[in-house]
Amino acid sequence: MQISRRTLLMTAALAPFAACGVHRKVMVLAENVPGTRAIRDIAVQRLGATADQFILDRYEEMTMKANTDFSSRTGSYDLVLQYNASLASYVGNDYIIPLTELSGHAWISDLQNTLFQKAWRETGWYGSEQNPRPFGVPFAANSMLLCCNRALFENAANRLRYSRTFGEELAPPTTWDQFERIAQFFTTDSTRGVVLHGADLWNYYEWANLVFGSGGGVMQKRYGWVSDRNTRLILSSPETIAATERYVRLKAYSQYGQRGTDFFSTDAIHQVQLMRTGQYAMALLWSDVAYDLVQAEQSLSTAYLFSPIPGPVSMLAGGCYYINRRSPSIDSAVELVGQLFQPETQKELARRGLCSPRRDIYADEALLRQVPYLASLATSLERGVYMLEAGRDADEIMARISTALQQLFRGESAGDVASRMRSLGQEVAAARERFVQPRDAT
Amino acid sequence: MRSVAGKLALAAPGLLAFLFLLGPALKFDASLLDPELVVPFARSAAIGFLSAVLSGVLGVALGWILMSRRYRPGTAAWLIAPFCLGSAAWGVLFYPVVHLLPGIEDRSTLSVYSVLIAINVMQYAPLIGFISYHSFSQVTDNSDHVRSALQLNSREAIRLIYWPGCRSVLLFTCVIVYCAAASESDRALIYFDPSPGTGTQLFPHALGSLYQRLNSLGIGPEAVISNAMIGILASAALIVGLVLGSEHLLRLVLLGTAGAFGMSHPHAENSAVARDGQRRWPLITFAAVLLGSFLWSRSVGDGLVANALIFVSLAALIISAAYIAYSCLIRIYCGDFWKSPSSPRMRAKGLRAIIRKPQPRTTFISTLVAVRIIPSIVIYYIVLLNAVSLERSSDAVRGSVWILAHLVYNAAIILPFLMILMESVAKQELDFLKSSGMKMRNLIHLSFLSRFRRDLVLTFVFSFVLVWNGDAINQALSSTFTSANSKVVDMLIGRNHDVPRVIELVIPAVISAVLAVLLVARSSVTMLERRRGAGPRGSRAVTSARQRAVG
Repeated sequence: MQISRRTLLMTAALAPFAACGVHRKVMVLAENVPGTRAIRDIAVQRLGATADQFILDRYEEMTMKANTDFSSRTGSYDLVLQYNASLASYVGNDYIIPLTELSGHAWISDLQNTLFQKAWRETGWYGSEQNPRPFGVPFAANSMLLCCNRALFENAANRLRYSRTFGEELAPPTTWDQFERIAQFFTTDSTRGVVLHGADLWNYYEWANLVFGSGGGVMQKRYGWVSDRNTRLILSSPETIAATERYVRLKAYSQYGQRGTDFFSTDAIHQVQLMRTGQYAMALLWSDVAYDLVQAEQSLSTAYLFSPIPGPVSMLAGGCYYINRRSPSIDSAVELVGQLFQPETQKELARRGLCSPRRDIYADEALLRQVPYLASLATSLERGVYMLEAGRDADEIMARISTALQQLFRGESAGDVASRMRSLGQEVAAARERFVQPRDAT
Repeated sequence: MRSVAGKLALAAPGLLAFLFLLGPALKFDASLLDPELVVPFARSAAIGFLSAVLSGVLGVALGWILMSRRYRPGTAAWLIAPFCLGSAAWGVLFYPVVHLLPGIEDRSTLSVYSVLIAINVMQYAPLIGFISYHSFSQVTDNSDHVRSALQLNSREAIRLIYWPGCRSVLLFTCVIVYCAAASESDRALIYFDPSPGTGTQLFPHALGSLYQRLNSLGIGPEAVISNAMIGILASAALIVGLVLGSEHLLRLVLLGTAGAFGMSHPHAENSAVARDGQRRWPLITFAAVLLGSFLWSRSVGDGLVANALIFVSLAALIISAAYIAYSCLIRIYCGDFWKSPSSPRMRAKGLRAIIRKPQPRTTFISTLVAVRIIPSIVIYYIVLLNAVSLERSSDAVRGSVWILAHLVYNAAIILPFLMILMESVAKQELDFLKSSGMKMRNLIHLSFLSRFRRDLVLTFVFSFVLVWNGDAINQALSSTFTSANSKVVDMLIGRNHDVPRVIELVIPAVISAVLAVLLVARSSVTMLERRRGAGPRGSRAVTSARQRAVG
């Protein structure tokens, strides 16, 4: 049979495109952070996966890719590792498969016993408050921790001066009054009391700790993903206003105006950098960046004290493995998650910086000694409550609160926090109208 | 059809066609008037407009000074360095400086605007200066006798000779600067972490937020309103571009680009002067620099930059080879694009004739130019929407798409220069060699590759610069191919903060920019020597080449 040169050339040119449909490996999309890199590495080293199965991107790009894939029904990503703020839209638009539809996987039925239940309910479940369903297996259970500079807190002169001034021992604060007092105490010519998140949205997360920890909040509800017409806004409640006033006051004890800092760009990463300078006494730190802070050459640093945030409650956050309904490899995807969820794998991931959602691994004393923040994280997850919005209106609410906080920090509201919070409440209520649909109460 | 209304009428079908091409993606709704978009849009437009005007004014002044004081073309070549450095490198270089400025800590509007505009002007004004310098020089070459005969003073000469001769080129360049500055987002991201609360949010950021929020409502890409805004922004740019550029559009791209980079070769015989004196140093130097960077990156890091260098070098090689092959084949098989031995004025006349009677080739080039005018944010979304469906494809497919996207997007900058370059080879010479039975491979090598060796290396270097500093395409495909731009943003302000690695990423951008400058400077000097009459030597070179070909 004669094959012309042109045919050969065309075949060669089209060969790569023909290969397009051949690959049926499980594709995973996630934010590029140490925890997800650890998941990728473990999957490659122990589970026979290949690195190109893991698409790790900046959060904004990763979210856009996920949304585009879901809404265009291309099924390019089998697993999407996403935070719970996106769950409402994923469920509302039927992008992902609920775990109840996945049969024949024993480890899924056992999740009730292996996970931090409140954390899972907050990040992986969705529906009506009375009848929610699980949609995701957590890949990380996060919270915010109080991080203190050990050198400053254990300094004898500081301890003496503090106890003489305030009549109590200098120790990581357990109430917000103490927190403010200690922040003020450490604000001197050479040190500052606290590193605050000034950046967009990051300030909202931080603020939520103070507000919910003081009895205030955004809405009266049990879970972040609950959001219907009947959910009452409490943004202008006296507790919320008082906590917001405290939060704005903290700016005076923060990095604002310090050389080499930029308040409105300070996010979790910049916060870690500033804490590393040793000039700051405290920070409310995301648990998934705590590893960045303690990471050192040989072993993990012990230069910081970790404890749950002041107040009686902590924040629940984190993300889940969501399975794409359009995935051509659903079973393989579930199998991969199951393998990653094994206790020993989870312990190894925790050593590499992931905040594991498995409750049982926190009983391992050796692991707790090895990773200095894990014990505080476990306590925080146990006492965790809803603080962050996760309904369909979450993006609208978070953006508006963050904007208002930045405006307060810039002094645009002439220091009248109460009136700004009242107007914020009206703004949020109006914005929610667009999002709160009857089907939200599914 | 010289009135603005007439030009708009000319532009309207193109605009409608463009909107039609975006097609069902465009679904306008009330969100178009959403103040959360309108305010950032106004901010971006104001920054773009002021940047373009200031860059234009300063650039023209710079070009005029260089021309009137008779600086050597080699000196002027350094003006392209800021442009070649790329957006990310600029962001990094000024990162430490910006936060020392007064008012930045509180994000005062004046400070933020001033910083962004000042940095835009620093990047683009030298480029406009370079283009102005060459445009003025060309006009001077062709109208010195007119000026002396009419005894015009400087002001009259500017008004009657220089401005009419350069107007379309400069205005169009300003439109390009406007588009680039108005859709710039990375620098603002690096410096200010833009947000509505600090009054620093620009249009691309607002668009990104809206895109995300609408997606959370389940509005897919086929109905995302942001596409409508993208369409409007792109259309606005097209209207401005078409109105200002109109019939001069091709003239600008073809003559302006080549003239700007100082490489129009009026005669192949003359260009062969350079051939005798050409050394292989550019290629060797560039290869050595790339190899050095690669080895360094392998030794100090995890190979991230080394891999990026390999990918980008390979892409630049393929892209430049494709451009070179296209321009060679067009020259061999097609007629003159315009009369090559003519003066620029004659070429312009030829071009007008071409524009009035469009041919497939002019339509092709016009389309490429139109692609370049579209703001990068549009390109980002278009590439992103398609990139997602490629994730499951093989590396070869994704790589091909990545290269293809760069090939199309950068064609308007490189291809015209190459076409002009290749057209300087006389048609008679090619016909003679073809009729003598020479193989195509040998013909291309003898008539084009060996003759324009240095210019082809420059093509490769420019391709490297454009791909390395690529914005939209690289960001949309960045999970597949490490791009300097997206990595710099991530490592400087993102969760993978790593300043030493940022410097590692910026170094290739700096080196390639310097090398591009040196090559352009050398070409400009060669051109000057040609103007001063080095013809016979070149003629001898071509004659001997012919003899070798025949014998």
